Amino acid sequence: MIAAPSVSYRYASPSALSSDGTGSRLSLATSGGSTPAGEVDSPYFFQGFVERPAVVAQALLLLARVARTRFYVPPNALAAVLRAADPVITATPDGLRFEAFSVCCGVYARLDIDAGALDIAHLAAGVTNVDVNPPLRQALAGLRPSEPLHLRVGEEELRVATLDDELVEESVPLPTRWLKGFAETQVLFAGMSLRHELSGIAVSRFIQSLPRASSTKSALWATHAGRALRLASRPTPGAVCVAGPERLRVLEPLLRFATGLRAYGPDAHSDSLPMSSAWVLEMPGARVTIGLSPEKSRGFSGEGALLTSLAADVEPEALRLVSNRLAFQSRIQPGRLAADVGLPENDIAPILGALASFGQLGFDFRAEAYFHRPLPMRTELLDDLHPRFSDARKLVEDGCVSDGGDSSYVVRSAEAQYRVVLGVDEDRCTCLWYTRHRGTRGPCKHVLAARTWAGHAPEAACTA
Amino acid sequence: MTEYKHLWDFYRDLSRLLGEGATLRDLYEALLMVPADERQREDGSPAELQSLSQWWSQSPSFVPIRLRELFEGLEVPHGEDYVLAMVGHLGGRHEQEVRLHLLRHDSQLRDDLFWRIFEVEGNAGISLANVDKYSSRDLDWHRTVIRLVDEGTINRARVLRSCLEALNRDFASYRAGWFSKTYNALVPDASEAAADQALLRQCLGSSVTATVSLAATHLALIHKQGLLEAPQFVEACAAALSGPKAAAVGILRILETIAGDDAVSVDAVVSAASSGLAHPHVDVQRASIRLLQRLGREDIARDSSGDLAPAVVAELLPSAAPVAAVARLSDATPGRSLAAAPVQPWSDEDARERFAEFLEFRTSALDLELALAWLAITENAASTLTPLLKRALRSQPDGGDQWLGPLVQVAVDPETIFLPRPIWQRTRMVLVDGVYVERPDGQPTPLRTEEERTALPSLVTRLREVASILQGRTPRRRLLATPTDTQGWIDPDVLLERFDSGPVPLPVDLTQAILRIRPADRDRITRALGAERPVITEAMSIEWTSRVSSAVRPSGSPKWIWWSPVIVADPVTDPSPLQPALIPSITTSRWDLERRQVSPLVAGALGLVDPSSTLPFAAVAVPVMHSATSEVNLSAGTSLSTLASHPGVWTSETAQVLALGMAALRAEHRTHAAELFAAAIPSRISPQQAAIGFAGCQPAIALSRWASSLSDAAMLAPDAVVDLLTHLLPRLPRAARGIGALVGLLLDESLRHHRAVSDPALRVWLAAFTGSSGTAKAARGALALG
Repeated sequence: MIAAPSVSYRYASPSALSSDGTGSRLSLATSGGSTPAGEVDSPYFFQGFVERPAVVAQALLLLARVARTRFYVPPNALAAVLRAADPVITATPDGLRFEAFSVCCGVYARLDIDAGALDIAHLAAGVTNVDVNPPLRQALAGLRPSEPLHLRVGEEELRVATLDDELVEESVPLPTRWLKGFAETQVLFAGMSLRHELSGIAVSRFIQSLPRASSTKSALWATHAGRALRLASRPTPGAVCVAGPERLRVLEPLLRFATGLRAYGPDAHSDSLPMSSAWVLEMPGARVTIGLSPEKSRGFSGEGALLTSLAADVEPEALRLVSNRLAFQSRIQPGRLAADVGLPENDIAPILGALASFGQLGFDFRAEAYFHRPLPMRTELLDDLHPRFSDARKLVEDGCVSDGGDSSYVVRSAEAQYRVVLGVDEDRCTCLWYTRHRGTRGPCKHVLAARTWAGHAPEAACTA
Repeated sequence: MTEYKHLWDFYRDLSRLLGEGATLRDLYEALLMVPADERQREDGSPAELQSLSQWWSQSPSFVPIRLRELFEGLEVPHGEDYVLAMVGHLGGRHEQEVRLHLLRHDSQLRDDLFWRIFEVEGNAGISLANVDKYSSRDLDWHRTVIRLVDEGTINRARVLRSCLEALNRDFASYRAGWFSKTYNALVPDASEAAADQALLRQCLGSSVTATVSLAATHLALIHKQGLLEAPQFVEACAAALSGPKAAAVGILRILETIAGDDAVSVDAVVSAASSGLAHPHVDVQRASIRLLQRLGREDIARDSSGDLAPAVVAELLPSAAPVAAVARLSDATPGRSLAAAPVQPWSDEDARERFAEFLEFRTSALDLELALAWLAITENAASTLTPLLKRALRSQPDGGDQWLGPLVQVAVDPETIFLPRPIWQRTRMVLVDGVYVERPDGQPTPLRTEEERTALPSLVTRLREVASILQGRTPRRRLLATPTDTQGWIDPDVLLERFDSGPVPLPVDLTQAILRIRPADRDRITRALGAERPVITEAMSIEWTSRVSSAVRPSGSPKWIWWSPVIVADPVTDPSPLQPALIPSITTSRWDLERRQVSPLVAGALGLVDPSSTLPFAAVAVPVMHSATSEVNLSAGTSLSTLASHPGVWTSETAQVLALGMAALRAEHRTHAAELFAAAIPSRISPQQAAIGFAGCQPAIALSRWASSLSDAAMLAPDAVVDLLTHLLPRLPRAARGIGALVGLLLDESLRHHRAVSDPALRVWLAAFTGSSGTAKAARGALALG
């Protein structure tokens, strides 16, 4: 059995914000990470001035708030305490990206700072965790907007200095669903399209019109209303789901900087069940992306968006081949990648989906492309992270799938028998999972098994 | 010295010891009277501290740890868990003396560790806010700190500063509330507040509205005394202009008075004032525009005029045109599409999948009808439903429709008794051979039947009829009452054919079938079937009654008023299985609502009782929606959906369901109701009739919620909103709380859509507003539209 995943933070010193007469200096401590040259303990990625100190300070506070918030508290779990995971920062020549994921696994937040909004003295590509501690949060809240802000991510000297007694070390167990969710958001984002765009005062109006509380399963749908958006009770084509709408109010402290808001979502129709959505708040030189799960009580980890890709049975060799080509690109172009590795372009999408499931990629709406961001996860955790996939594989191996005729399959599991119909647009199953979610949380294990069996058709007696 | 049997005895004795003037050493010596094994368990280990930092034992469990630290040299890490253990357990829930004593006499605790309570937020179990919430009033941490400040034990200036520092630590609003409450309770004067004005400025950017309000209030006080650091204030204040209305207006007032200061950058003031234009409240928009006009930058406001309230634009930027934001009513809008479609009967092939889906959501009354139709005719019920039995028997937390599980059970095992009458058996304990044994005491008492527990008894009896078919006691058949279209109607010819080809009709099935025939055909079909026409309640009224609390406000008016709908129907007869279209006269609706459960499924089924009339449904839905104005009601959403798809005629009583929905507690229900409003007025009910319904339940709702919902509905159907307000406002008392929001909405929508205010009754009503209130100004503005 594989141990529960955890992340060990080891900071040479706490992150801090200091001020003198000329401005403020924000030093973000780093813990472990990857660079194009390999793994490093205390990476040094950035040094320079930020053009919009107030934007960066408030956005970092927002990320820290998301990281430590339970937007939904399950009944009987009031006192359960989960340590918030520190934000992940990715440095590329195009700028800096900070990512955070809520404790309840239902809200994803990312801050992108464009290189154009940075006066860069040093920039190296890579990914790491950064420490955002309570005193730093307080200091960020007090940052004067007009003060120049010098930002440093990591310490150059530490690469040669002996770590002193300021070492901050902590091992944070991260629930599997947290890791799954973090990876899953990116694949879900890749399947979304731009649905709405707001600018000016309409941005504040919309965010401030959101209810401050809602019931657990509440989902409203953002629809066009002239230059504004209206929250409707029912989905319509083009609508974007806002499940647990008060969660989007986390953007409120940034509204005074907002120049625009873009809403992304999957295709909706009048019978759609609640869906995930993503909201990108544009600010001068930076933008914040908020991802919302389809229900407050549902984390992203249960969405199963990756499973269809995995069922496509991506070859490990192809995965390795593509993975080795990635070097912190801020925009991965499938066509160019396919040419580089010598694979058909159609094969690249499932490979990228699988890599995202390993936490190797993030998705950028503005670029409409994945970017390379390897999270500290082990690829052998895949089966643990996707039990439905491994269950399905077992059903196939145990010979529990048979042809039912007319594109249907019979899947026997735990003394029950399910009928699976594989369709062009939608797969259907008679199990409870399908009945309840109708495919919105990914395929059930019976559909996955039927899909896998349809490709391989092994002959074995069912022992499940 | 008293020896204690348990540590708990020591805790209980602490008050006595302190009353007798015990010192810390005395307390420690008393602790030594606790058996060593129990005493030493309080060792301040990381595990113990972690437990104390999360679970509130309501006892002074921190005291032994602290005494052992002081007198035994116990080494305990003073991390966050230690601080939270102190917050939660430095005294009991109903006393303050232990906490006061230790803070007065333990200098290290007072001078060092105490101040860390301002740094540690806490968690769902232990925090200053949570411990105080459940502690005796006047004996909580808040009062302890105030008392120690007042007596000079702890430094007042440092407490004030620490509270502000805590408010800037981005704590959750619930936990931050303790610090703002304590800061305000100490009533700092202007010079004290001015000493920490940098922290107050930081608070303006807080995401907690109470913190922003606190900062705005105290900065105004500082400004009044001429102590404000104006340039820094201007730089920081924009963050508060998207906050609470009063705080934003206060900030703009300060900006107005300092805009001319030499030290203040005009551009910075303009930038801050521009932020106020985005505020949703008209008072903030007004103040921002006025300030921009004073600074010679009206152009900024003019550029944003399309996003400002039309009344504000008309008043301050008269040459700018308001922009109408109108959303499209789609076919998915509730109530928009009432086209009936033929139902798709279930077959043996798809029954399992459809039954599984029905069981999962349990809200579609039409699916229930189709399920019953299939169960009554199929020979394969057992084999089809066996895999679903476990799911069907799954308990439903809200109750009310727990009949489906037993029905599936009967289908699978026909020997099962379907919905037996429950009984209650009193018991007593008797001593038998030295052991207490529970024995029956008297005769069992029969409890209410399922029919007596539900708002729709005919539905339960129809389930019994189908159960009898499944049990083989009645022949299989096509049910007569199964709707032939999605609105619940039955084609008369189909009914006659079912009747002619089937066995002796089941009584409730027959009655229900007749009620689903269109009124024009009912007499003919009833005669053809040789049946009696069911009694139908043709008229009812809803009266709203109130009772008041004995507690009164300083003005002498009651503190609380509880309103209840009273359904008055004629004849005064409750519905029964054979008379489902009778409307119960509900005299104490609250009691009856609880007695007669209205689950989401029943709410939907009520809509199918008599498709020609919404009254039987409205009689039950009004109490449901009324409860949804103050609490979560799981049937509220289904009730609105049922009304939206109900083909029956709407009356002013039906409109009350909608009116209450537009005042619901939950935003999603208000949104749903606003869409139904836009779809239903005037196509289903005239604005005049709807206004009568709205006015009828007005005493029981908050007008501000109507204003918000009608504003939402105006994005879909602005004319319907203006028309309703035209007929509704003259029916409302002018002094009603929140009336200004409705008058303001009338003005805004009339301006936005170029509507004149010409209705004579409305003009008379508006003209009676005098004075300088916002409502009076809006009324005059509306009258000016002619």
